[in-house]
Amino acid sequence: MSFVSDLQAALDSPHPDDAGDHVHDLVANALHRLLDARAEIKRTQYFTHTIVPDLVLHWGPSGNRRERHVHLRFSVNSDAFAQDLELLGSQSPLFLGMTDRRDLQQARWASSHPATNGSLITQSQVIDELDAQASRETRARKATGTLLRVGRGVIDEPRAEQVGGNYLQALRAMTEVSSETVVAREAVEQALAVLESYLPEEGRLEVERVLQSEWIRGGGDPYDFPGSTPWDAELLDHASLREVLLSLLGSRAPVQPETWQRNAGFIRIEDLGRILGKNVRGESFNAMAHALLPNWTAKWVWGERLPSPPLMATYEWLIDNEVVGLEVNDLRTFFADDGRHFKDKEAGNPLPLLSEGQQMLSQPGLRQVGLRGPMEGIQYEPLSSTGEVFTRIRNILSAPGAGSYRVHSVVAAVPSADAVAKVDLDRQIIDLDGHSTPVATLARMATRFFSRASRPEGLDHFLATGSPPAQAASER
Amino acid sequence: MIGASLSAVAIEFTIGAEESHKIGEVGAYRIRRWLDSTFRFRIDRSIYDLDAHGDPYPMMRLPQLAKIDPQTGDAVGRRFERFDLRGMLLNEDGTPGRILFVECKDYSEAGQQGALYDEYLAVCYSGFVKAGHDVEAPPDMEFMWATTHPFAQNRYAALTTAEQVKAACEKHPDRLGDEAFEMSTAEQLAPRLWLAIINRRVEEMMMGLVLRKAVVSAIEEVTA
Repeated sequence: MSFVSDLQAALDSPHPDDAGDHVHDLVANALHRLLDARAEIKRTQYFTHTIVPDLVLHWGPSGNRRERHVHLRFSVNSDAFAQDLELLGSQSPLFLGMTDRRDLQQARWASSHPATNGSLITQSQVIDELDAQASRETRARKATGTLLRVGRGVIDEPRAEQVGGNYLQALRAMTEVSSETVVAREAVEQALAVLESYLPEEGRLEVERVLQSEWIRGGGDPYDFPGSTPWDAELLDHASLREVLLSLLGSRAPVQPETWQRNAGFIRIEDLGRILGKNVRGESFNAMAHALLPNWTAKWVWGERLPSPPLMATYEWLIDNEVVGLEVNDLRTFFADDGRHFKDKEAGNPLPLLSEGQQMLSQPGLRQVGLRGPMEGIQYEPLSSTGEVFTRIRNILSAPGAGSYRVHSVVAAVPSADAVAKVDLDRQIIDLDGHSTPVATLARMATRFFSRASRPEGLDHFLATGSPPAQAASER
Repeated sequence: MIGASLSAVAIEFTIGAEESHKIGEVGAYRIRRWLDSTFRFRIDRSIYDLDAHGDPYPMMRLPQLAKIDPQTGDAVGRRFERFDLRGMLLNEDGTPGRILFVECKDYSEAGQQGALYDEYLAVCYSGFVKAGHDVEAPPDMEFMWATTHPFAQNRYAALTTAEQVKAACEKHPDRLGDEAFEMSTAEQLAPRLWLAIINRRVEEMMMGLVLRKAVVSAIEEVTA
């Protein structure tokens, strides 16, 4: 059954209210199929009313909610339709002709030259055509969605075929963009030129971004894309940037480090999770993180130790709940500039016994060590003349029973940086006191203080090369 | 296809047919828009809303009383009439109430409208009785004569009375089939008759865009 035949059956219902309800259901379902999932469709109880729309499309963020009225008409080809355009055209609605089958090249109302403004005038058979295109290629849905939300002008079946055909051709050409760049360029230019007649600027940019994402996903360089403006990722809004970065992450072709640098090198680690807007982990995100790691700094670190080390050694960058993190064996570490990400993090992590803290406390740069025993807490602060901290503390606490003291905090100089890290082992948080510190350095510090199972050399290898160490790789 | 169908539009009057002043699609649309804009009426269909084959929808038909051929038992003569518009009266809360059939006329003078109106009343009576037989109660329907020019001004106030219905049926007994006229039915019909004179400048009487948007927005909230 096609939309056209379903619609005809619904219109033949003998009772007007039944017919109206059935038609509204059918049209709402069709629009749902052709629009993106974020669009909302509301129905009114008015059917083909001359003033009240049959349906209303809503989309966009809550602060900038947009809407478009959908007016159903039996014919959008008649003389009387000019009155609809005159009365309703200023609100740029979508008019859908339900039963007229003739194309609209020479619509009868056209002779009176009514202003269509931003109205989109189309017919039920166009819905079938767009549906067919979207079922042949689901990626076409993004263009049909834009067309229905903000499209304008007259689109009958032949025009829908032309628009859809060119768009599908561009999508196909872009699968070979890395090897057939010129062909892909021409196909994209042709599709954009055809769509241009039916879209206002915002719609053109929207479709351009979608095609650009496909271009990138197909392995094309964003700088080669035939866009209306020169490519500059820094000028994109978050939604567009997300589209580009997710396309790169989903690319079938390997993405070069310089491509990541050009398209995401300016994004702070604090913002990256929010821009991507979804949880990601390992694989292509490892490559992205490795390419961007030299740019990344953070002011806070949060460690989350797994109950037990994984059987297989793990080395993966990840985004969880909009925060960038790194999972290395038993420790998941998150990095941020804003400590409020971690404000609800609870204390109560098992503290290492002093006897277990040799590696942690044997490195240079310790400024303060907080210990907690059964009866009291001790804050040890080495002076410059003091020797190696771990040995020194052991000597001080050589009394019987001193082995039960646990390390609960450390203040340490950050290696190779003019910053001090306050390490809270109870909450597994490192506060850099406002100093932007390289994430690679922080990853090493977190491992040193919070992990019980990581090999520092394995982490060093992963941070340096972006690949797990050979032993870990071979274990996989 | 469309041109062929237009010859079948609206009530086929037996008198004065050469000047029945069918209003045409654009004129009917103007009246429809005015009725819609009152939000007391909701017009769902027009005789010009055609199906994919170019035919008007059956719901535009109002079945009529017809004589029964005693030999064959079949109805003789017109079995239905079509109106220009069909819609609903809306209740206080905006929910649909009775069905409304509207006959639209485009006149620049009174013309023979009075004679046509009488036949229209007989058609309304016939349809009202016929539908009443089907539901065994007064049917939930009302009728409107919507014209661009006043007529029969010496009896204007009486045009929607039961007496006028009676007089119309006496002039057009063929519209009653084999039924005898009943005054009680005419009295039930009379309050369901509307007479509207639609000014050609009616567009200028409707609310402007800003107010209309506000009303539509409120209606969307109420009815969505």
